Amino acid sequence: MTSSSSSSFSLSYSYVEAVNPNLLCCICRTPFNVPATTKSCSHTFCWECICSAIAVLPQCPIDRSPLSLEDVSLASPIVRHMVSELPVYCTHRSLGCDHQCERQLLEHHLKDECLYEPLPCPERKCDQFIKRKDLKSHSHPDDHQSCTTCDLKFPDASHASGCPDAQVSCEHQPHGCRWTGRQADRPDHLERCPYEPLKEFFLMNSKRITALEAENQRLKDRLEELAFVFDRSRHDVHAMKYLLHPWFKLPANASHNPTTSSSTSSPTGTMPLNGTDFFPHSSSQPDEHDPFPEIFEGETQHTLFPPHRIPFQYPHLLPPDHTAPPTSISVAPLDLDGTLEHTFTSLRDSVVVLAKTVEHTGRRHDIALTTENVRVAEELAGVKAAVRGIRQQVHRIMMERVPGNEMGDKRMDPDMMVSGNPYLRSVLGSYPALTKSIPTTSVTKL
Amino acid sequence: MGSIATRRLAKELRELSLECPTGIKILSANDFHTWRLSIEVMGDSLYQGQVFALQFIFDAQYPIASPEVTFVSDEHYKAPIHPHVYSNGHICASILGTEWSPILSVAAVCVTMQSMLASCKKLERPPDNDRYVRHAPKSPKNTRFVYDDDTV
Ligand SMILES: [Zn+2]
Ligand SMILES: [Zn+2]
Ligand SMILES: [Zn+2]
Ligand SMILES: [Zn+2]
Ligand SMILES: [Zn+2]
Ligand SMILES: [Zn+2]
Repeated sequence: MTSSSSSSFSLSYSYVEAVNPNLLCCICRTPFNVPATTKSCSHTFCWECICSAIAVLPQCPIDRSPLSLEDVSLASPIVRHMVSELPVYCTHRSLGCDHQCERQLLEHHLKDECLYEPLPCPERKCDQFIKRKDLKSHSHPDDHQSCTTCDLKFPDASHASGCPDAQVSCEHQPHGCRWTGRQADRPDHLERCPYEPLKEFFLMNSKRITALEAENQRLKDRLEELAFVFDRSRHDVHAMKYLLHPWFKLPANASHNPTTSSSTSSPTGTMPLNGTDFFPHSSSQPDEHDPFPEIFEGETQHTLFPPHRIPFQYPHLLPPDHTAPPTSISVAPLDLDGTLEHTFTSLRDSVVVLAKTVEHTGRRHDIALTTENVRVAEELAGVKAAVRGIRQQVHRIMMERVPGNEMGDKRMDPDMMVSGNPYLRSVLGSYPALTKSIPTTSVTKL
Repeated sequence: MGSIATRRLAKELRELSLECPTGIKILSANDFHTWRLSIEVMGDSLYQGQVFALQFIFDAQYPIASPEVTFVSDEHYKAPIHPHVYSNGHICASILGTEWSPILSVAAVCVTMQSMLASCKKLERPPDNDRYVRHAPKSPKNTRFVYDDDTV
């Protein structure tokens, strides 16, 4: 410990004799340095030791009883004297000082007498520490330069670290110390400066402030980010509201039973957001508070959301009379008071009913068509038979008229005969299909 | 290194070199940062004939703050198999954590570890050994142990 500080706190003593264990601090295991006793449990420690222990854990290290700094006071004078009078070696014993004294006198010895105590350069010109015995021989190679502050031609040892007359301020000026004065007086001031003992505190605080500022900046950034996300979400929510339009409801209102919401109930069950009627049912004007008027302006709104009370009746609400002419179907108005889900359900129900009706109608049409087809086929068969009869008769007549041609007449094609005969061609021309044989399967298929 | 820590450790080292508690030997103490001591359980115990090594790492806050104490687990020494000792050498003992007091010392910790081992009834690892070892911080002082057993 080559300490030049006068503070007894940092002095390390080397005791001449073994010390009574009762005088040992159980935290640092050395004789009490500034003994302090706890009021609550009367345990004694070094002042510094117990203070730092309490700072970490507010309890007595020995019996773990709760302890605060207020519970610690200087030990009794007897204890203080006993430790102060313990004989110690000079701190610079290893350097060569053989001095022995009472512990309380060591400080004085070091400050004023000890030849081995390192002292700062008396001229404040270099950063060396010089043993007291070597001070006289201490010199600097460049001791001859003029000072600009005091106009000294050949500054002496006093100018080692700047002119002693130079006006300087305290190094704690940033923290509030108003002291200014001669450079030479600054060390003296520092000893008395009220800010000097707080040096560590200031350092710690400025570190903390830096850390907090950094954290604050991070939080600000995060907040901005979140605000952006929030804005976007709000935009999305508004868009959703417009899409859902009359079905947009607060969850509490959306949960009412869909079966009870009749198609003609008044919109008392709806509770628009913000307490204002966000989607006025009666008015088609865009809302004044609408944050996105440019997106859903009047006309668009009309086409997207036509007036809500179109006469419309669900087919399933009609009596199930399928023979009734379909032209008179009246449809129930769209239910805007129920939930969207309910609306979808009823729409789906209507679609199901419609599908059934369509299917039924289709089947009826099929039956009618089949009946009609059968009738047409029967008629055709009659016509075909008649044609065949006529053809045979025509054939016979032809045979009778041309007796010399009996051999070739068997092979004569009826079609050629028909095409060759202007009368038959005009009769059968209106039934072109009949000139070929009618496939019977096309009739049975119907 | 805080001057209190240095002075205190110098004192402890001087005392330990003069007289160590039975079964405890200094393996290395070349600075005031890391010490290693061997410990052996005296008398009848499940660890008869085994020698373990404790590693102490001190910081400037010692003895106000507890030292970081672990069982050495390397090619020479193995951490004892004990319900409060993880296989990586971390020790779940309240005096090394919340119950630390500045009046405790290296010797006191060693003796406590000796008695912790001596009172062991069953050779087994802590139930959460594998999970803990996989995620354990380098220093056990960064672990918040739950001291379920008041006997240590
Ligand atoms: Zn106490
Ligand atoms: Zn102390
Ligand atoms: Zn001296
Ligand atoms: Zn000098
Ligand atoms: Zn000058
Ligand atoms: Zn000042």
